[in-house]
Amino acid sequence: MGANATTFVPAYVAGEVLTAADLTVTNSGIPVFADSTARDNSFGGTGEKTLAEGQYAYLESTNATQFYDGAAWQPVGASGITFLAAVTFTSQTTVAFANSLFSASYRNYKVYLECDPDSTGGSWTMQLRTNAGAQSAASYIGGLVGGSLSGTAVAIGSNNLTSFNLGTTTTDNNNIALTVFNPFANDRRCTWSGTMYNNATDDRGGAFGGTYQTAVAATGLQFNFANAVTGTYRVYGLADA
Amino acid sequence: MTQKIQVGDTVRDMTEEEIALYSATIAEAELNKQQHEAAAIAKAAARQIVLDKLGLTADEAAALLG
Repeated sequence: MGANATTFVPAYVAGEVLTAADLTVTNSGIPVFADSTARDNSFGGTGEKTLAEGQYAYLESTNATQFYDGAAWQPVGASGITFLAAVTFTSQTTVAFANSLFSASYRNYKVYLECDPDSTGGSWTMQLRTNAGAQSAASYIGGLVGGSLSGTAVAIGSNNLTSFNLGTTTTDNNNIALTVFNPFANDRRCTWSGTMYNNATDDRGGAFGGTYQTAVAATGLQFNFANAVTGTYRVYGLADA
Repeated sequence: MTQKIQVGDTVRDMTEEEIALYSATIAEAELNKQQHEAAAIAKAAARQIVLDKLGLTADEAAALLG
Protein backbone atom coordinates (compact mmCIF):
# COMPACT_ATOMS: atom_id res chain seq x y z
CA MET A 1 0.00 0.00 0.00
CA GLY A 2 1.44 3.36 -1.04
CA ALA A 3 2.03 6.39 1.19
CA ASN A 4 -1.18 8.07 0.03
CA ALA A 5 -3.41 5.00 0.23
CA THR A 6 -6.26 5.05 2.69
CA THR A 7 -8.46 2.40 4.25
CA PHE A 8 -11.43 4.61 5.04
CA VAL A 9 -13.22 7.67 3.70
CA PRO A 10 -14.37 9.66 6.74
CA ALA A 11 -17.63 11.40 7.45
CA TYR A 12 -17.79 13.91 10.29
CA VAL A 13 -20.55 15.02 12.63
CA ALA A 14 -21.32 18.51 13.87
CA GLY A 15 -19.00 19.58 16.65
CA GLU A 16 -16.53 16.78 16.09
CA VAL A 17 -12.89 17.63 16.88
CA LEU A 18 -10.75 16.76 13.88
CA THR A 19 -7.25 15.37 14.14
CA ALA A 20 -4.37 16.00 11.78
CA ALA A 21 -4.92 12.52 10.34
CA ASP A 22 -8.57 13.36 9.66
CA LEU A 23 -7.56 16.49 7.78
CA THR A 24 -4.84 14.69 5.84
CA VAL A 25 -7.34 12.16 4.55
CA THR A 26 -9.95 14.83 3.90
CA ASN A 27 -7.52 16.96 1.93
CA SER A 28 -6.09 14.11 -0.15
CA GLY A 29 -8.40 14.73 -3.10
CA ILE A 30 -9.35 11.53 -4.84
CA PRO A 31 -8.88 8.78 -2.23
CA VAL A 32 -6.18 6.26 -3.04
CA PHE A 33 -6.74 2.54 -2.34
CA ALA A 34 -4.50 -0.48 -2.64
CA ASP A 35 -7.11 -2.34 -4.68
CA SER A 36 -10.85 -2.68 -5.26
CA THR A 37 -11.31 -4.67 -2.05
CA ALA A 38 -9.76 -1.89 0.04
CA ARG A 39 -11.93 0.60 -1.84
CA ASP A 40 -15.14 -1.30 -1.15
CA ASN A 41 -14.25 -1.73 2.53
CA SER A 42 -13.71 2.02 2.95
CA PHE A 43 -17.29 3.14 2.59
CA GLY A 44 -20.37 2.66 4.71
CA GLY A 45 -18.72 1.66 7.97
CA THR A 46 -18.76 3.54 11.27
CA GLY A 47 -17.34 7.02 10.70
CA GLU A 48 -17.12 6.43 6.92
CA LYS A 49 -18.98 8.07 4.08
CA THR A 50 -21.85 6.26 2.47
CA LEU A 51 -20.90 5.37 -1.09
CA ALA A 52 -22.95 7.44 -3.49
CA GLU A 53 -23.01 8.60 -7.10
CA GLY A 54 -20.13 10.88 -8.00
CA GLN A 55 -17.54 9.36 -5.67
CA TYR A 56 -14.03 9.05 -7.19
CA ALA A 57 -11.30 6.53 -6.35
CA TYR A 58 -7.79 5.66 -7.49
CA LEU A 59 -6.58 2.02 -7.38
CA GLU A 60 -2.87 1.36 -6.98
CA SER A 61 -3.25 -2.25 -8.18
CA THR A 62 -4.31 -1.23 -11.68
CA ASN A 63 -3.31 2.46 -11.79
CA ALA A 64 -6.94 3.23 -12.56
CA THR A 65 -9.06 6.26 -11.69
CA GLN A 66 -12.72 5.44 -11.30
CA PHE A 67 -16.03 7.06 -10.43
CA TYR A 68 -19.17 5.54 -8.92
CA ASP A 69 -22.29 5.99 -11.07
CA GLY A 70 -24.72 4.95 -8.34
CA ALA A 71 -24.63 1.28 -9.30
CA ALA A 72 -21.04 0.39 -10.23
CA TRP A 73 -17.52 1.76 -10.49
CA GLN A 74 -16.70 3.11 -13.94
CA PRO A 75 -13.36 4.06 -15.49
CA VAL A 76 -12.65 7.76 -15.70
CA GLY A 77 -11.70 9.07 -19.08
CA ALA A 78 -12.96 6.04 -20.96
CA SER A 79 -14.03 7.37 -24.30
CA GLY A 80 -14.64 4.99 -27.11
CA ILE A 81 -11.52 2.89 -27.37
CA THR A 82 -9.33 2.28 -24.31
CA PHE A 83 -5.87 0.72 -24.40
CA LEU A 84 -5.63 -2.33 -22.13
CA ALA A 85 -2.42 -4.19 -22.91
CA ALA A 86 0.54 -4.58 -25.24
CA VAL A 87 2.51 -7.79 -24.82
CA THR A 88 5.52 -9.10 -26.73
CA PHE A 89 6.32 -12.78 -27.04
CA THR A 90 9.51 -14.45 -28.22
CA SER A 91 9.76 -17.95 -29.69
CA GLN A 92 6.44 -19.13 -28.26
CA THR A 93 3.97 -21.73 -29.54
CA THR A 94 1.15 -20.81 -27.14
CA VAL A 95 0.33 -17.20 -26.32
CA ALA A 96 -2.52 -16.39 -23.91
CA PHE A 97 -3.89 -13.12 -22.62
CA ALA A 98 -3.30 -12.27 -18.97
CA ASN A 99 -6.13 -13.29 -16.64
CA SER A 100 -9.21 -11.05 -16.60
CA LEU A 101 -8.17 -8.90 -19.55
CA PHE A 102 -11.74 -9.29 -20.79
CA SER A 103 -14.13 -8.24 -18.03
CA ALA A 104 -17.45 -6.58 -17.33
CA SER A 105 -15.82 -3.20 -18.01
CA TYR A 106 -16.28 -3.54 -21.78
CA ARG A 107 -18.65 -5.53 -23.94
CA ASN A 108 -16.49 -5.62 -27.09
CA TYR A 109 -12.74 -5.60 -27.70
CA LYS A 110 -10.25 -4.90 -30.49
CA VAL A 111 -7.20 -7.13 -30.79
CA TYR A 112 -4.19 -6.55 -33.05
CA LEU A 113 -1.62 -9.33 -33.34
CA GLU A 114 1.58 -9.34 -35.39
CA CYS A 115 3.99 -12.24 -35.52
CA ASP A 116 6.77 -13.87 -37.51
CA PRO A 117 7.63 -17.58 -37.42
CA ASP A 118 11.11 -18.24 -36.03
CA SER A 119 11.87 -20.61 -38.92
CA THR A 120 8.96 -22.07 -40.82
CA GLY A 121 5.25 -21.34 -40.72
CA GLY A 122 2.53 -23.72 -39.65
CA SER A 123 -1.03 -24.05 -38.48
CA TRP A 124 -2.39 -21.26 -36.35
CA THR A 125 -5.52 -21.39 -34.20
CA MET A 126 -7.38 -19.26 -31.65
CA GLN A 127 -9.41 -20.18 -28.57
CA LEU A 128 -11.40 -18.35 -25.95
CA ARG A 129 -9.96 -18.55 -22.50
CA THR A 130 -11.13 -18.22 -18.91
CA ASN A 131 -8.78 -17.73 -15.98
CA ALA A 132 -8.89 -21.52 -15.60
CA GLY A 133 -7.51 -22.09 -19.11
CA ALA A 134 -8.36 -22.42 -22.80
CA GLN A 135 -11.89 -23.38 -23.83
CA SER A 136 -11.45 -26.55 -25.86
CA ALA A 137 -14.93 -27.92 -26.45
CA ALA A 138 -15.51 -28.95 -30.08
CA SER A 139 -17.79 -25.96 -30.71
CA TYR A 140 -15.77 -23.48 -32.70
CA ILE A 141 -17.37 -22.71 -36.05
CA GLY A 142 -16.77 -20.15 -38.76
CA GLY A 143 -14.58 -19.54 -41.75
CA LEU A 144 -11.75 -17.69 -43.39
CA VAL A 145 -11.71 -16.56 -46.99
CA GLY A 146 -9.19 -14.56 -48.94
CA GLY A 147 -7.05 -14.29 -51.99
CA SER A 148 -3.43 -14.12 -53.05
CA LEU A 149 -1.73 -11.59 -55.29
CA SER A 150 -2.28 -13.97 -58.19
CA GLY A 151 -6.00 -14.14 -57.45
CA THR A 152 -5.93 -17.64 -56.08
CA ALA A 153 -8.72 -18.14 -53.56
CA VAL A 154 -7.84 -19.17 -50.05
CA ALA A 155 -10.48 -20.69 -47.81
CA ILE A 156 -10.65 -22.75 -44.66
CA GLY A 157 -13.57 -23.55 -42.42
CA SER A 158 -13.97 -24.51 -38.78
CA ASN A 159 -16.88 -26.90 -38.26
CA ASN A 160 -17.18 -27.81 -34.59
CA LEU A 161 -13.44 -27.83 -33.99
CA THR A 162 -11.70 -27.48 -30.64
CA SER A 163 -10.24 -24.15 -31.79
CA PHE A 164 -10.86 -21.61 -34.52
CA ASN A 165 -8.61 -22.34 -37.48
CA LEU A 166 -6.72 -19.25 -38.69
CA GLY A 167 -4.94 -21.15 -41.46
CA THR A 168 -1.19 -21.06 -41.75
CA THR A 169 1.44 -18.59 -40.63
CA THR A 170 3.99 -17.99 -43.33
CA THR A 171 7.37 -16.45 -43.89
CA ASP A 172 6.89 -13.10 -42.18
CA ASN A 173 4.56 -10.22 -41.45
CA ASN A 174 1.56 -12.23 -40.32
CA ASN A 175 -1.05 -10.02 -38.76
CA ILE A 176 -4.68 -10.02 -37.73
CA ALA A 177 -7.00 -7.19 -36.71
CA LEU A 178 -9.85 -8.68 -34.75
CA THR A 179 -13.03 -7.52 -33.04
CA VAL A 180 -14.25 -9.80 -30.24
CA PHE A 181 -17.92 -9.36 -29.45
CA ASN A 182 -19.34 -10.07 -26.03
CA PRO A 183 -16.62 -12.37 -24.67
CA PHE A 184 -17.38 -11.86 -20.98
CA ALA A 185 -21.06 -10.97 -20.50
CA ASN A 186 -22.10 -14.62 -20.90
CA ASP A 187 -25.58 -13.57 -22.03
CA ARG A 188 -25.10 -14.84 -25.58
CA ARG A 189 -22.41 -16.54 -27.63
CA CYS A 190 -19.12 -14.77 -28.15
CA THR A 191 -18.41 -14.02 -31.80
CA TRP A 192 -15.46 -12.49 -33.60
CA SER A 193 -14.59 -11.16 -37.00
CA GLY A 194 -11.53 -9.62 -38.53
CA THR A 195 -9.03 -9.33 -41.30
CA MET A 196 -5.63 -10.85 -41.77
CA TYR A 197 -2.56 -10.71 -43.97
CA ASN A 198 0.57 -12.72 -44.34
CA ASN A 199 3.54 -12.10 -46.51
CA ALA A 200 3.98 -15.52 -48.03
CA THR A 201 5.33 -15.87 -51.52
CA ASP A 202 1.86 -15.08 -52.80
CA ASP A 203 0.94 -12.32 -50.31
CA ARG A 204 -2.41 -13.41 -48.97
CA GLY A 205 -5.07 -11.15 -47.51
CA GLY A 206 -8.39 -12.27 -46.15
CA ALA A 207 -11.27 -11.95 -43.75
CA PHE A 208 -12.63 -14.32 -41.16
CA GLY A 209 -15.39 -14.70 -38.60
CA GLY A 210 -16.53 -17.27 -36.12
CA THR A 211 -18.18 -18.15 -32.85
CA TYR A 212 -17.91 -20.49 -29.90
CA GLN A 213 -21.23 -22.25 -29.58
CA THR A 214 -21.19 -22.27 -25.82
CA ALA A 215 -21.95 -19.22 -23.70
CA VAL A 216 -18.92 -18.71 -21.48
CA ALA A 217 -17.55 -15.76 -19.53
CA ALA A 218 -14.27 -15.56 -21.42
CA THR A 219 -11.52 -13.47 -19.87
CA GLY A 220 -9.13 -13.58 -22.82
CA LEU A 221 -7.90 -15.30 -25.95
CA GLN A 222 -5.26 -17.93 -26.58
CA PHE A 223 -3.34 -18.37 -29.83
CA ASN A 224 -1.79 -21.73 -30.66
CA PHE A 225 0.99 -22.08 -33.24
CA ALA A 226 2.36 -25.31 -34.69
CA ASN A 227 5.80 -23.68 -34.86
CA ALA A 228 7.33 -21.02 -32.63
CA VAL A 229 6.63 -17.38 -33.41
CA THR A 230 7.81 -14.01 -32.16
CA GLY A 231 5.55 -10.98 -32.07
CA THR A 232 3.28 -8.59 -30.22
CA TYR A 233 -0.41 -8.30 -29.44
CA ARG A 234 -2.36 -5.26 -28.35
CA VAL A 235 -5.82 -5.25 -26.77
CA TYR A 236 -8.30 -2.38 -26.48
CA GLY A 237 -11.64 -2.17 -24.72
CA LEU A 238 -14.55 -0.55 -26.56
CA ALA A 239 -16.72 1.69 -24.38
CA ASP A 240 -20.07 3.18 -25.32
CA ALA A 241 -18.96 6.69 -24.43
CA MET B 1 11.65 -30.91 -23.91
CA THR B 2 9.06 -29.03 -21.89
CA GLN B 3 6.30 -27.18 -23.66
CA LYS B 4 5.90 -23.53 -22.73
CA ILE B 5 2.92 -21.18 -22.58
CA GLN B 6 3.06 -17.40 -22.22
CA VAL B 7 0.15 -16.01 -20.17
CA GLY B 8 0.31 -12.24 -20.21
CA ASP B 9 3.99 -11.46 -19.64
CA THR B 10 4.68 -14.72 -17.81
CA VAL B 11 6.22 -17.73 -19.54
CA ARG B 12 5.75 -21.04 -17.72
CA ASP B 13 5.78 -24.76 -18.39
CA MET B 14 2.51 -26.16 -19.65
CA THR B 15 0.68 -28.67 -17.52
CA GLU B 16 0.26 -32.16 -18.95
CA GLU B 17 -3.37 -31.37 -19.66
CA GLU B 18 -2.42 -28.17 -21.51
CA ILE B 19 0.15 -30.03 -23.59
CA ALA B 20 -2.43 -32.65 -24.54
CA LEU B 21 -4.97 -29.99 -25.52
CA TYR B 22 -2.40 -27.99 -27.49
CA SER B 23 -1.21 -31.09 -29.38
CA ALA B 24 -4.76 -32.18 -30.16
CA THR B 25 -5.73 -28.70 -31.34
CA ILE B 26 -2.76 -28.33 -33.68
CA ALA B 27 -3.21 -31.85 -35.07
CA GLU B 28 -6.90 -31.15 -35.66
CA ALA B 29 -6.13 -27.85 -37.42
CA GLU B 30 -3.62 -29.49 -39.74
CA LEU B 31 -6.03 -32.33 -40.55
CA ASN B 32 -8.76 -29.76 -41.17
CA LYS B 33 -6.49 -27.87 -43.55
CA GLN B 34 -5.59 -31.06 -45.44
CA GLN B 35 -9.27 -31.95 -45.78
CA HIS B 36 -10.05 -28.52 -47.21
CA GLU B 37 -7.18 -28.77 -49.66
CA ALA B 38 -8.25 -32.27 -50.73
CA ALA B 39 -11.83 -31.08 -51.19
CA ALA B 40 -10.67 -28.15 -53.32
CA ILE B 41 -8.57 -30.45 -55.50
CA ALA B 42 -11.46 -32.89 -55.91
CA LYS B 43 -13.83 -30.06 -56.83
CA ALA B 44 -11.40 -28.73 -59.43
CA ALA B 45 -10.96 -32.22 -60.91
CA ALA B 46 -14.73 -32.73 -61.14
CA ARG B 47 -15.10 -29.35 -62.82
CA GLN B 48 -12.38 -30.23 -65.34
CA ILE B 49 -14.15 -33.47 -66.23
CA VAL B 50 -17.30 -31.52 -67.08
CA LEU B 51 -15.31 -28.98 -69.11
CA ASP B 52 -13.62 -31.76 -71.02
CA LYS B 53 -16.99 -33.33 -71.86
CA LEU B 54 -18.23 -29.97 -73.12
CA GLY B 55 -15.00 -29.25 -74.97
CA LEU B 56 -14.60 -25.89 -73.23
CA THR B 57 -11.67 -24.22 -71.55
CA ALA B 58 -12.09 -22.75 -68.08
CA ASP B 59 -12.04 -19.22 -69.51
CA GLU B 60 -14.70 -20.13 -72.08
CA ALA B 61 -16.90 -21.64 -69.39
CA ALA B 62 -16.49 -18.53 -67.25
CA ALA B 63 -17.41 -16.29 -70.17
CA LEU B 64 -20.44 -18.45 -70.92
CA LEU B 65 -21.76 -18.63 -67.36
CA GLY B 66 -20.88 -15.08 -66.32
